Order: sequence, then C-alpha cells, then structure tokens
Amino acid sequence: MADLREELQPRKAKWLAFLEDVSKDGFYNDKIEDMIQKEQNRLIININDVRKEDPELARETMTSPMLEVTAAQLALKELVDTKDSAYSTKEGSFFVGFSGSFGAHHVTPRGLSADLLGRLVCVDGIVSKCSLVHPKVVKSVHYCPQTKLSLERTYRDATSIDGLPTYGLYPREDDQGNPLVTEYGYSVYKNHQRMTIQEMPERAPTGQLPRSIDVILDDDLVDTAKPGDRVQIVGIYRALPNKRGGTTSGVFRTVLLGNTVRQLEKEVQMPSLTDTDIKNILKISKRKRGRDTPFHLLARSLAPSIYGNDEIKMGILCLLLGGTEKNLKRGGHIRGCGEDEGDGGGGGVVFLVLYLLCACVRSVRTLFSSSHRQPFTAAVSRTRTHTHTLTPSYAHTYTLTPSYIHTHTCSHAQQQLDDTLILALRHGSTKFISAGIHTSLNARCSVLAAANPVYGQYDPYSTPTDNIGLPDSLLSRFDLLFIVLDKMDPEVDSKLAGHVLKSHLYRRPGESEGEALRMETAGDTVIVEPPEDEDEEETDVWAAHQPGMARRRGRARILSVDFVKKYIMYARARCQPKLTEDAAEFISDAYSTLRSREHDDKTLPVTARTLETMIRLSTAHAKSRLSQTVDRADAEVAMDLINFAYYNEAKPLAKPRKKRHPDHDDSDSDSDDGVDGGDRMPSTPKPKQKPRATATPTRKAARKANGQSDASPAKSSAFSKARSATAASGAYDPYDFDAPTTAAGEEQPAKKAKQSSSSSSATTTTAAADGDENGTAQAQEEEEEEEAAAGTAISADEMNRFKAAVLAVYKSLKHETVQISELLDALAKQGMTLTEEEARDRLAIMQENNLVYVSDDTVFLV
Amino acid sequence: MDVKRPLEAIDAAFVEIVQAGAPAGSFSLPDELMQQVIDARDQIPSLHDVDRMYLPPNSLVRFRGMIQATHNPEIYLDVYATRGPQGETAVHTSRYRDMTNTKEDWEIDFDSQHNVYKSRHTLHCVPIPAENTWVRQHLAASAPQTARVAGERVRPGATKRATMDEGDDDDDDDGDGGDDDGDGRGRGMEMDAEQQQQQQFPAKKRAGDMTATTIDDDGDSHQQHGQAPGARVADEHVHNLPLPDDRTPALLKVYGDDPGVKLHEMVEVIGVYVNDPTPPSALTDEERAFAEPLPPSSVLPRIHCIHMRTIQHHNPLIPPQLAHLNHVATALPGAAVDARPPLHRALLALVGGDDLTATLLLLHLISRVHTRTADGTMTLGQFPLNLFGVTGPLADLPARLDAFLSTITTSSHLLDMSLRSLNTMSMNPKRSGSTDKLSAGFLQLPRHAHVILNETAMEAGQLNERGIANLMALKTAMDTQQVAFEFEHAGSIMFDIDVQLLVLSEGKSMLPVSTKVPIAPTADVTAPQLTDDETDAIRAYLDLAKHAEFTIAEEMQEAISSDFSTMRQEDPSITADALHRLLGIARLVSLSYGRSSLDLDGWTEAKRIDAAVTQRMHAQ
Repeated sequence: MADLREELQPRKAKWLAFLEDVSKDGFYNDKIEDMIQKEQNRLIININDVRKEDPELARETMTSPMLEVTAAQLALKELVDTKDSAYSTKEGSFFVGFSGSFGAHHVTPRGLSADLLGRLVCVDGIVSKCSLVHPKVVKSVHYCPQTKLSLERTYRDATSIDGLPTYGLYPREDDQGNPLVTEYGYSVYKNHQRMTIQEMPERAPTGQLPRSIDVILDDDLVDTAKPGDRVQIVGIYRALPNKRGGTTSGVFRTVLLGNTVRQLEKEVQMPSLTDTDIKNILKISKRKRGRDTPFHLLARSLAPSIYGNDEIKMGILCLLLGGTEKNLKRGGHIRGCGEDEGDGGGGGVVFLVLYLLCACVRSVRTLFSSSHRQPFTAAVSRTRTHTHTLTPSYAHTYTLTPSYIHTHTCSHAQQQLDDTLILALRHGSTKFISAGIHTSLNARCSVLAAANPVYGQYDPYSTPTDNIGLPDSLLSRFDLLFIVLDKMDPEVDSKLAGHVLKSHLYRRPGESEGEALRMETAGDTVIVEPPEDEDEEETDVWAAHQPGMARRRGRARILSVDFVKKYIMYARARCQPKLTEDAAEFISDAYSTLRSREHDDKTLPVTARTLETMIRLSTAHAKSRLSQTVDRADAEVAMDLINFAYYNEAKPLAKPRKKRHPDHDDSDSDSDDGVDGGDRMPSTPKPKQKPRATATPTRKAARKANGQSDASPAKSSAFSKARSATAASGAYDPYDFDAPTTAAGEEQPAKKAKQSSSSSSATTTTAAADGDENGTAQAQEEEEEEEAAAGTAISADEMNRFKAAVLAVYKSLKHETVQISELLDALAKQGMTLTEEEARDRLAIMQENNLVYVSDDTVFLV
Repeated sequence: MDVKRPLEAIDAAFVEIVQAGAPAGSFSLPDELMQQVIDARDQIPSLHDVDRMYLPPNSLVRFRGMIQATHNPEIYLDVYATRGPQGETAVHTSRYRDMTNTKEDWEIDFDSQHNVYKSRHTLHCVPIPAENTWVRQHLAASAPQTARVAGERVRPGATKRATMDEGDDDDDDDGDGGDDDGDGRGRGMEMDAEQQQQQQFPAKKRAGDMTATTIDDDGDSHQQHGQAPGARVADEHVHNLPLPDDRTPALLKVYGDDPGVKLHEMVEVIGVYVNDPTPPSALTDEERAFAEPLPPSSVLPRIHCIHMRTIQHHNPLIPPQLAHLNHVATALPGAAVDARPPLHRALLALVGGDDLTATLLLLHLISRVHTRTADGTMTLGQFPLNLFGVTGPLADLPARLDAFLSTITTSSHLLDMSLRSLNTMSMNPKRSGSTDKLSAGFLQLPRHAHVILNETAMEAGQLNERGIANLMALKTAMDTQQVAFEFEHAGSIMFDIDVQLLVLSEGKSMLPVSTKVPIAPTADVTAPQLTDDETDAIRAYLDLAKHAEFTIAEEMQEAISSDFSTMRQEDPSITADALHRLLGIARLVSLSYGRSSLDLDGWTEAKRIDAAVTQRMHAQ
C-alpha cells in the first residue's frame, strides 16, 4: 500500500500540472469551478487534450489507467480543496472520466480481447439490462461499548481502482472478543450498479450472436443509462479472478469499470464515416447527369433485387431521409417523417420492406395483428435478485429509441386499426400499461405500412379507398400511397424475366460449392460496376422503354447498400434544409392545383395534410442533394411523386358488364362507387351510359356517403359535403338548387380572403408547416368546390335565375332527365328565352358545380 | 503423441519453447505436433461413439456437431508463473485445459512478468440434430478398433430407424444393427403405448446382430426413455438441444483468432476432452442474477480444440471436402443414372403409384437454398412441398415417408403438428434477458435437413400464443429460410437456415407452401424395395445433387425470356413468382437427371410439371 502511494506521487504531480495548466487559458480550471458550482463530483477530461499537452501521460493513461485514474482523482481532490475546501470535505471524493478519441481502444463488446485487459477502453453498445442501485459499504465504523473505543474499517474489492482489494471480514468483535456495534450513521456507502451492454445487433457480423460485457458503475454514474439505450462507456477493462474450490481456474470473468457514460445519439453511432466516404458522398451529391440526380441514383440503389417500382423506391427514400422535425411550444408536434402505404397486389413490396430493415439504422417490422403488438409496448419484468420488485428497467429497446422506422406488413387491412398505430401516427407517441405502470412514451418514428387489399384480391373496379379499407381519418395521415399492381406488358415482362433469370444465375467468383449464395453488393464505397451503358432505368415502370434483354447487363450504376446507408445517415445528420420562397410559392401553387383536381379519382384525399406532405417530401429531396435549402427543383420532384402516388391506379375501371345491362345494376353492385366516370370522360360519353345515369345504380353509394337518397354518378365528394351541410339545417330537397347556391354564395367572401392569403404563399405554407391547423389551413379545407366557377362572363344573378328556372323545369317534369330542346322550350314558357349556346354555357357552369350533367343533348339532374 | 495423454506432449513442447528462450507469450502449438494430432485422427475416439464413463479425462476426442450458440469469449491465463513454498518459480501454460495445474503448496504469482492473458472462444456445439442412424453407423464402423476400445464398452447411438416393419429388407447393409426406436428422437412422447411397442419390436428383432453387452446397454436405455419422457425433457433443456438426442453436446473452446463460425454451421474438431465434476465457481447473488453459470463439465463436457474445421455436409459416402468442384460435376451424372430410377420407383411405391407426386418428392429431396440476398429479401432454391389427401390408404404416409427418408437422407425428422406439440414446443431459439440462458429452437437444424410436418396430427382446438408464434416461425422458414433468434426484450436477429419442409395434410395445408398438390394414388401403397447398393447410390446422389453447380446458357435465357412473355400474354395470372417457381423446378429437374445446365428438355419438363400441378389443383 505504501509503495503504491509513493508510485502515485509523481503521477499526481503530472496531473496537477495538466489540470492547472494556464497555457490552455485555465480550461480545466474553469471546468472544475463549474463542477463545484453544479455540485457535481466528476470531471470529464478529454484525452485529446492530455495527448496534446503530455503525450507520455496520455499513453500511460491508456495503458495503465488503474494508477493514472487514481492519481488524477487525487490531483482533482487537491485542486478542489484549494478552491472550496468546504465542498471538498462535504463530497469526500472526486472522480475523473474521459472522453476523446481512443483509437484502437475504441471497440464494441466483440472487440474486447485479452490485450485490452487493464487498459482504458471505450465500448459502444446497447444496455441490455441493469440491476437496481445498491449501496456498497466503503467504510464501516464500529463502536465497542465495553472499551468505549471505535474502530474504522475500509473495504475495497476487485472493482475498486484505488488500491488493492481488502480481504478483511466485516468485524463483529474486537481483538479481545468484545462485541462491536456498527455505527451505521457514520459508515460511508457508495452507489453501485451493474449493467450489461450488448453489441448492437446491426454491428454484429452476419450469422453470429452479439456479444456482451458487464459494466460496473459506481457513485454518480448509476442510473445514467437505462435498458435499450445506446451508450458509449469509457472504463477500465478488468479481469476478476475466478475462485473455484480453493484453486484458481485460470479463467477470469471480465468487467468494465466505467468512468464515463455517454448516451449515443442516433447519428453518432452510424458506422464511422471515413474521409473517403465523405468525399464520395459529396461527390455523389453533386452528381448531375440529365435526370439522374443523386435522388434518383439513391432511389434506384434501394433494393436493387426488386425490379422497377422506382416511384415507390423514391417514396421510401423520402421516408428514410425524413423531413425536418419541429417541436412546437404549444405542445404540438410536426412529424419529420414520411410515411408510405403500399397496397400490395403484386409481389415485391414485402421484400422492399424487408430490404428496408437492412438499410436503415434502426427499424422494427411488426406483423400487424392482434397477437403481435409487442413492438409498440414496453415490457416490464422481474430481476432475479429482487423478485418482489417490479422494475421498469426492461423497456423495449425499440419503442424507446427515437427516430427509427416502423414497418408493418399487414395481412388483413381491416384488423389493423390498432390504437397504438393510430397513436403513433397522430401524436408520435406510444402508450403502455403494464404491471401498474401507466405511461406514454415518445415514439418518433416513420411508419411504412404494407397491406393486402380488403378481399385479398385488388378490385380494379372500386376505388383505392374501398380496396384498402382504412378510414380516411387514418389514411390521410399517410403521406404517400402506392398501389402495387401486377400489369402486363411484353417488354416489361421480358425485362422481368431477365431480372428473375439473373437472380437465379448470379454466382460470385470463388464461391465454394454447395454454399448458399449471398447476393450482396459489398464494399464501403461506391460500387464499381462499369458504367458501359448509361441507359437509365429511371422513372417510369409502367411505360418502360428499355428494349430486350441484351442491354439488361449494362444497367445504370447503383450504389452499395452500405454506401446508401452512410449517405442517408450523413444527409439526415447534416442537413436541416430551410424552405425557400421560391419553393414555397411552387408548393402553394401546386397545392391549389391539386385541390382543384378535386373531382379526379385519387388514392388519398387532398387536405391540409397534403401540404405538410409536400413540404416533407421536398425537404427529403433537398436532403438527398445535401442542400441546406429546399429549392423549387425539390418541390417539383416532390410534386411528381405526389402526382404519381395520388393519381396512379387511382381511377377505378368502369365495369364493362354493367354498361351493357343497366337493368341489372341494382342486383349485385358490390362496388359501391362502381362507376363515376362522369367528369373524367365527358368528351366521349357513351350512349349506353345514358340509361344508367337515370337508373339507380349509385344510390347505394349516395346513401353510404350522405344518407341522402339521390345522387348521380358524377357527384363529387365536395358537393356532397356542401349538401350535407345544408341537409343538416333542414330537410334536403333534391330538386332544390337554392340551398347549395346560397351556401356557396356565403362562402364567396371567405374564399376571396383565402385566395389572397394563399397568394402570399410563403405565409400560408409556413403557417401550415408550423402545424397551425386551426388557422388558415382549416379555412382552406372548407373552401371546397368553388374554384372551378371562376372566369365566366355570366353574372351570379343571372346564374341564380337560370338555376331557379332549370329547377322549376325539373320540378314540373317530375323527371331527372330532360332533352336540351325540351328544356329550352320549358324555359321559354317561364319567360326566359335563351339560345341553345347560352343555355349550354350556363349548364356547363352548373355542371362544374355538379348540379347537372350534360351529355350530348340530354341534361341530367345531379 | 499418446492420444490419451496429449497434454504431456503439449507441456513438453511448451517447456522446450520457453527453454529455447522464445517469449512465452507467443506460444502456439508446433506444426509437427498439430500434424501428429491430425494424423492420429483414426485412433482418436469420437465422443459420440464411446461411453463417457470410460473416456479418460484430458484425452483426445473427436467431436462433430452443429454450432447452436456462441458465448462471450473467455479470458484465461495462457502462460503463468507459479511460486513454490521456498520461493522457487516455474512457468506453465493452461492451454487446452480448464484449470491451472499448480503443484501442492505452489501458488500462482499474479504479478509475474511472465503472465500472459489471452482469450479463447466458446461455442456451444450440439450433435448434428436429426442425424440419421445410417450416417452414425457408417462413422462408427469406419472408426478403427483402436478408437473403439478407448472405453471398454462401445455404445452405438440409440437412434431412430422407426416404424419400418419391413426394416429387414433394407438395413442389413452395415451388419451392425442400427437398432432403434423412435423415441430416441423424442417423437415417442407423442405416441401411444401401442405404437411404441410396435416400434420396439423390430428394434429388438434386429438387435440379434449385436453383441450381448450392447444389447443390454441399449435395451436399458430404451426403457429409460420410454418410461420417463419428463426426465428427457429436462435433459434436453440442460443440453440445449434443438431435438432430443442421446448424444451429448459439448462446449468447444477454440484458441487463436476468432474462428468466425456462424450459427448452424457444422464443425468437426479434435481436442482435449475435459470432464471435471467440480461444480462451477461460486458466484455472488448479484452475479448469478446476471449470468446463469454454465452447467459443470460433467454435464456439459468441454473440448479444448486443437484442430477445427467446418464441414459442408455429413454424408460419409461422399468426400468430406467438396471444395474441388470437379468431384460433384464428374460424379453426379453417373450417380443420377444409378440412383434416380430406383429412388423414383421407391417414392412411387410410397405414394401409391402417383407419378406427379413421386416426381415432386424427388425434386424436393434434392432442393437446397442456392441464392440469398444479403438483405434477406430473396431466398431461392428451397422447394417446400405440400402433399395433401393423406387419408384412407395413405393415412400412414407420414410414418412411412419418415422411415424411408431416414434411410436415405443424412438428416430428417418427422414433426407431428399436434396442438400439444405446437403449443408447447419452441421453433425459435431464445435467450432469456435475465439469465442469459440460451434455449434451443426446433428450427436450428443443420444444412440440408429434411423436416416432414405431419398436419394430419392436428386436431380441433385452440392455438395459444406460442402455437401461433411457432406457426409464424414455420412460415418464415418456408418463405425466407431464416430462423429468428429471440432476445428477450431486445427484439430478434434473423439467422439463415437451409431446411427443406414437406407438409403432409388431409386437406390443403394451412401453411403458405408454394407448391401444394393432392395425391392421386392409382395403385396400392407398397413398401419401397431397394437393394443395399441402390440405397447407397441414392444416399450419395441426394447430397451430390444438392452440392451441384447450375448454369443457364445465354441462348436458353433468351428463349425462357420470350417464352415467359408469351405465357403472360396468354394467362395474366402468371407472375414473376411463377417464373421463379418454374426456374426453380427446371433447375431441380435438370439436376435430378445429373445435368448441370438448363436445356430445352428441362425447361419443357418443368413447365409440364408445373402445369400438371396447376391442373390437379383446379380439378380439386
């Protein structure tokens, strides 16, 4: 013991010199004062500073930390003594921790080999379990009532660094055999905790189990990490001898005596980026070859084994890149993530999902059915030593860690309405109630869902919404929705065949026989597939232009999985792009265009959320360029994606069978919104549609939507909303145009105001982006169907009179169809003489407002 | 080197090195000693063939098994100094042993400059699960007498040549009585007494070939198993076996660099057998809560590996290392000629003359995973098969097929998918979060293992949560050939497997098997009639076909590609999946005839088979 102290003196002097060093402007001096002020007792020393100042000391610290750490702590104690002796006495002991770069001593639990024993190491891992915090006696004080003497004893075990372990037993009696009384109040204890950290699963080599290491944390370090945390622990790697029946087995248990615990942020634990990596990333980000932007390149590189589906890949890329997250003071929260829903009619989607699991840093796939809720909940379990205490220590690793991706494969769309998913989508949080613990945790995650159609088979005759079977309220929270259908096209087919064949053939050179082949695109950087043929397989899957198989081999370059990972992580970490005026303007324009396409069939409703979607997608694209601003170009790509996702496959096919047999329409209409071809093909109305329009095929749809008894095929949801609004205020007369007209009229000023506000687009979008859904955005939602009416020469008055007249005609005829000539005659009888052209103009406006539908010479009442 | 006392030679080599002045820390086994060990392979007993009671501790043993789990590496004192009572010192190594060997009154000098700490890797290795009797008999028979007498009594493994009433016809091949009964594999637990009796009967009959001692020994063990299935379950739990096995698993300790073996790989090792009955070290309560100590070496023997290699297959009839591609390429065509017709004939007999199902079965038997994407998105090559209509005269097909497969494949197993077994077994391996204890999962099977899932054993009732999880695991195994290693509270990690699943059911299987076909027997079900030569030919053929390379020539690719487009125009229901399936079948068809590249015949034949399957399904 004595010689140990002696050995420590010169080291302590060195540390004193280092800590007091004025050449660093008293950096550590300040830190120590800061420490005292904050009533802490641990000083974190950056090993890099030590290395700069005194390389020898740094080296010694790494190789024989037992001595150096003790010396540094003594030095620290002495310094605190001189600064604030009262505090020093109160606290008793002070500790040092280390940070900085550890070079070869920075390892994962797998890297902890015997050469690192007794060294200062830095270990990254996930905390897989923690014990409770125990008090551990450091010094016991005993009093002997007989002799009136007190006795002190200090204890050290193999995990103490300040000296050799003491083997003394806890004294019960003194040398003379007099019983001793323990003075618990005078005894000194320290907090003691043991935890296990495990290699992060994504870093364990394929096919091998992750390894783990026990960590001992004392004093102020206890409870600095909880299970599921990704941490970096600096400590001394120490072997504890294993006694077995008196003889030493020569085998040691090893522990890490932690002195610094640092929580790893998601971005910190990315596979370390080398300079070359960053150079490559920057190079790729500047790449521009025609339409082959970094965004396209990245998207194409996702899941290369899945052919085509480029838009979906782009969507997923956006999801991976994410938007910018904004936390609002009001407690609102804008998700910075993108979400996708694929509706899997064709194969491949599931595989895409599987691919994602590998591509992103943290992800959980959950099979969404009632029996698989686990990933959304946290678990609580007992530890073996404390069987009576339930500890919330085993919280689910994935639920608690922020910013990762949940993916869902749903088998039955209907069953999925799990509260937790809705919660996660709406508020970005998850709740769990278990063993009396009731809490709500943040689950900042992106959600990717894949679902099969409601009846297993995609019904091309119904709308996507009906096929998916999720309520709009939930569906509208998804940013993009892709419908994946299997389509036929000889060219695509032959490419597909080529792709399938290739996967059956690919062999890596030097592959050993009988070995299951792994198709991987290894390497940390860009793959060097020869770019002999830059024929881009980009964009459109559905109308591919690449002929034949011969050119299949020369496909465009793709990036390796690892590189994509790094790129995405880099982009996420480095870029928080800001929206430019230009882009904002574009987005607001695009938004109003989208809104005006209200009658077109689309997969998702266009609401104020769409605006958020557009901003998120643009941001994601900007990130793909590593840009700090969201430019117009980003918004354009986002719009392309939205246009694709919203309108592709959205249009249900008209049922050919039903066209022929209008009489049977009622009998078996299993698709509610069966036919609503109206305004999509007004130019070529087929004669056969005429009777259908007058018949009742769509009554069902109408009932479903509004509880109204009448509707026509061209009815738009906007109109029905307006109608239901009026219906609420009184009985609705299908022949009465006045009510909707008035309602529309009332909205006019509001709409004007609205338009002016949206013309100052920047304000609108920012407001929406800030999640102010109650304000402008909501107002926007209300202005629905008017937009189309603008730009006509006919005055409102005139229109109202015309409408009233037409209504009267229908009333008198007691019929929903009327020939235009009949109408003109009838109008003339009412004293309103119009030429056919004039009447048609007015009818056209009414048609735009979905009041009537004109087909050739027939006018239908809607 | 004396195979019974290898440590003496090793210590001598160590002393020599130290005396020569080389740094003790760099001690490694001299090459010539290593070579001696490898050369002595035939004299070294296999841990599976000898009774451990008669195996001297610290002697050399051979062990062949599958890696079931890996533990954290162990830090040990590779070289250490000891101090005697008079202050004299000596340097030792604790290579290839669990304990330091200090002399009386000497103690280890922990502060010595000579001490070298190193880490050795620990692998939990189980005997190859579902390994069939004939493989084991071959190995035991090929080991020379010297190896057998390591102990006085040799105990052939109790095994599983189950319900073959006609066993006499086909198993005289080795002459050494592969006796046996089904419950060696735990299947007995599910059977009623009558069945068990039936099973034991042929076993007893065949036992006539064996020496008297063996009969006793073996017979005893049967009874034990039959009477106390509970005890076996407990046993299995301790041993961490995916399937019940009478052979012991071992904890391998590997020196040197990280061997990098993957889970479910098969290895063959020669090492020092350690059997030390001392209980494991005393741990504090806190430590015990953190890690359950490993069972003592008397329960779980340790083998300190001197030589270790991974093996691609465990078929004794083909060369151990198939690294030379040529062997398979040259041997397969001949093997196919010899073995395909009798195999097809035998399968035909089993399914009552239904040519289509017999062909599908044949293809199923030579299937294996040949391509996987690193990201787990695609696995190609597996050919899961569901034969349904297993009822009436075909009702005992599961048992018959299992009996047949166990004579021709290296690893096979029949799993009755009864509610009870589904609700109680565990398909996926697990690691408990609180004790770090690993428990094996059924799906941890060696490469190229065959599993027959007998769905006819399913009865009405409710699957519990575990049952559903087990079904999901089977589904995953079928789709992607992966098994999830579940870490309590920390999600799961997927590991690759290559297990061929055959589902036999009355109606269509509830599992998502890609190829489902009803059996249409045209004749009576008969027992397969195979000569010994034919059986051996089939055994070699199956593994050769599995290891064969396969190519598709450029012009063939073009032809298939255009063919596919045409097919799609005609029938829109044909998707990329169908092409995957067709190519898979075409590959197997070609390989089954010993052809290593696809030709038009193979493609046409594949299309014919696929069409026949579709047609029969529609006819249902």
